[in-house]
Amino acid sequence: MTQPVWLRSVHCKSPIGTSDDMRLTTRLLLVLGIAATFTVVVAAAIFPFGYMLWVSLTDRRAFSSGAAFVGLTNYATVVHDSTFGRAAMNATVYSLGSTLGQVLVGTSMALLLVQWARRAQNALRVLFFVPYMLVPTIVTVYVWRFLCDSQVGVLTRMTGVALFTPEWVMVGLIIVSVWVFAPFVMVLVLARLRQIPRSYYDTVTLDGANAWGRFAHVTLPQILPTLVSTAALRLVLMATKFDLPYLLLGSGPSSLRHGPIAVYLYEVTYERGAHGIGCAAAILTCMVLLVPLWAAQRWRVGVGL
Amino acid sequence: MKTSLVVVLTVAAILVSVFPIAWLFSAGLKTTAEIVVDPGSFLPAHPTLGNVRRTFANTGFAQGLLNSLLVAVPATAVSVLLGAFAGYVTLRLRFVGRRLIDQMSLAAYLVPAVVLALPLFILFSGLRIAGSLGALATAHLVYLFPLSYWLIRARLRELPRSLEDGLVLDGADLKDLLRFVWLPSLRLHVFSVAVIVFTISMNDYVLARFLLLDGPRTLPLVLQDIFDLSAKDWGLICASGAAAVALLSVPLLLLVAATGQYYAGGRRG
Repeated sequence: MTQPVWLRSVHCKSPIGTSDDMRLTTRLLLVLGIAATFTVVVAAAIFPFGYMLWVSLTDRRAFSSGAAFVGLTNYATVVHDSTFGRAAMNATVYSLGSTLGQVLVGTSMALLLVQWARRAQNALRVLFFVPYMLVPTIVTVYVWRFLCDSQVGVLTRMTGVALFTPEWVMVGLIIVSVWVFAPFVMVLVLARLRQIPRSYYDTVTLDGANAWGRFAHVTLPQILPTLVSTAALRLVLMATKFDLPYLLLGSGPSSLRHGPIAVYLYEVTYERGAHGIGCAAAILTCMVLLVPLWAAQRWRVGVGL
Repeated sequence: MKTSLVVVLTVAAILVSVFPIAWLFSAGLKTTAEIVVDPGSFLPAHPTLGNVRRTFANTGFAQGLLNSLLVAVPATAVSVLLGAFAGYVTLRLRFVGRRLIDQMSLAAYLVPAVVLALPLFILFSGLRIAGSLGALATAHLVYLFPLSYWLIRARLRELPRSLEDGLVLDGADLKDLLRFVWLPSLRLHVFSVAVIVFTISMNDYVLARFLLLDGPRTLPLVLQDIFDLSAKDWGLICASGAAAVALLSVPLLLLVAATGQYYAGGRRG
């Protein structure tokens, strides 16, 4: 039985059958599945950028059909928009600050965990993981707003500082982000720490190194590539965070003044309905973020799992 | 070698990790009046389930939970099935674009939710399907597929090919392979991937905020409404938050019970 060429494009030397004797239904199923996979992957990887690029070159707005090609006008608008500049500044401060915090805290947690025997380590890891794993973002935000409330907040009473008031809001945002995402760094560093051969430590101990010496001469050099690549990954993920900043800042002037890029994108696209400008801002952001991503790629980062 | 410093620091780290959530659960058992009068005490003086009752009776909590399930269940099922299929096919078969699927899903994993949500929203509103659960489920499928694919593929790669080849030489067909190789060796792993993906979908705020507009509300959006509209009714806010945490951790706890392992990646990003 001859099969059409497009079906024959699936070459197969597998248990399912060799190319020649594969049944038509099996082959059809395979081709359909591959087509579905391609659709989803393209929709996830290429469509967002391609479609945004196209919309960013038009004057598309909400509630209006039709859009005219306007060239790079939207990009000029975004670059000259002082709100965008401030949002970019906020995103820089937020992502650098929270990444630094996550790497420091996460690494400390991992260093703490390796001190314990394997069983205790696994149990403790579950507890350390609660903020990242068990709590939905929306609940995280409201727990912290509850704890830091100016009237009933326990943390406010303990420290005398109401986080999330305008002057402290960036600090509060960074603290909450570190609380949520430090376990992410912890897992990656812990996995790396477990791979360091014991003999390395024995060697430097023989040479008379104390605890600090062991850390400085073995642990740190061994985990440094992991730290750099994890930091790059975290930087990119934090720079485009929407939910935590948007929910913690609340709507209103505070959110515009302190909101990072993602909040700006939301305001422009939804509140102002300017789809073209929103897409131009998103494209610009993605282009800037390619730099740390490229760095992460160079350092051979795992994707965080 | 366990110094007391290590013990002290570990206890401190546990406290910081767990304290906010412990406080949330305890506050959910207090009346709002008690929280306002005596905010500093941890244990409720007169524990009550009144707030939990109000959560289910007076708010859209149950409807939100149902809507979230209507999105998460199909999105999880399709993304895991397709992920398993694609993982197998890219490992075992040769076809045009095999490497491309690999590379694109790695790239797709790094696409932030906002960057995916923005063009999807514009596309969906152009197609007049923005603000529906179906649109959100589609977005979740696209968002979650790369993760399912990579997690399942990592495990599939460890499965020796010779096992399948040997069985086929003995005359096994697809059904036998499914029954004797794939199901027994992948069952637990696929289940754990499904739990992770399902949890991410249930917890998702960003895509829901961007795509649902004024339409049906998923659980995270309902929780936001409760907070915003209840005028600092802390008892209700904490009880609904605690109920959400408790309900959403059920699949994860099942997973830990089933595998004895704790997986990273309960949340994307």
